[in-house]
Amino acid sequence: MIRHVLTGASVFLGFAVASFGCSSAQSVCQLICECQHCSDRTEEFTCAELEAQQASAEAYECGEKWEALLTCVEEKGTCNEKEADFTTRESGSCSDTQDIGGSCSTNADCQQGGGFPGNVTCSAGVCKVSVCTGSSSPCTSNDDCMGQGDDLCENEAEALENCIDAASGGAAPHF
Amino acid sequence: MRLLLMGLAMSSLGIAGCGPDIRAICEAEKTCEGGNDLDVEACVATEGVDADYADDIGCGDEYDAFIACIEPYLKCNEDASGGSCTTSSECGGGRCSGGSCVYAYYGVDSDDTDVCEAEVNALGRCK
Repeated sequence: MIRHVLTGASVFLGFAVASFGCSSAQSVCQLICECQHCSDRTEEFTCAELEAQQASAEAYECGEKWEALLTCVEEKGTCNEKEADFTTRESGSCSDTQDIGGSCSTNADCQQGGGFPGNVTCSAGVCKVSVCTGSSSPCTSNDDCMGQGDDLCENEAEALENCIDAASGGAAPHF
Repeated sequence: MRLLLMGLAMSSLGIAGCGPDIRAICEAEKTCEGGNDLDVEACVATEGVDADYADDIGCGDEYDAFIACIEPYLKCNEDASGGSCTTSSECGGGRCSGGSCVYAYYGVDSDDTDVCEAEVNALGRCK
């Protein structure tokens, strides 16, 4: 609860914290910003958001869970350089297919209209497009599925959420 | 730590002891929406670092002006736009009234959403 009023306004306006020395939050925000080519102001804001979350977690006496999450992010996070996106998700696999409608007898029948992102093929008389496992994002290779696999820090994030939920008497903020 | 953050928050508001009382706002939100002392601590801590950040990027005055402006408009409101219900147990923290889930929230009333527009814009330009 309770973060709604001012923090809601703060987030809306793009505000959060400041500098706290060399904290794990700062290390992580630097990692994120190196990957995502943040401007100085964006980096300040990214660090500030993390510091605000840290302050909140510590207030709920969940600082250890927060540190575990940040350590995980630091150790397991990767940079998708193509997308300039820092993620803790594993690379997905371009191995599922999805019907896109239209009957066909050959792959060429599915290419009409062209430009459909992803590998389009004719399978069992139906046009299908290759998609990333677990999502409906069209793809041509595993590279297109980066950041769409399992979240490697899901357990740590869940542990933090559970800790805060248990400590809070209301609807605690979820990070 | 709490006192430090409070001190920073208050000093960032310019008039220590006379500016908006972040803790009082956090307490009022707890009273309105429910919560416990740790929720208040989390609220105060977060707002303290928010104020710090505003100062750090040179927008402390604009932030202070925004908080000072918005504070009088903060109150406990109810949002009755929840789903239909027959009992409050179906409303996840809200209450069932007239067949609809009603949720309390602490903030600016929906009729007052344009208040402090100048302060919001000034803060937006600063950041």
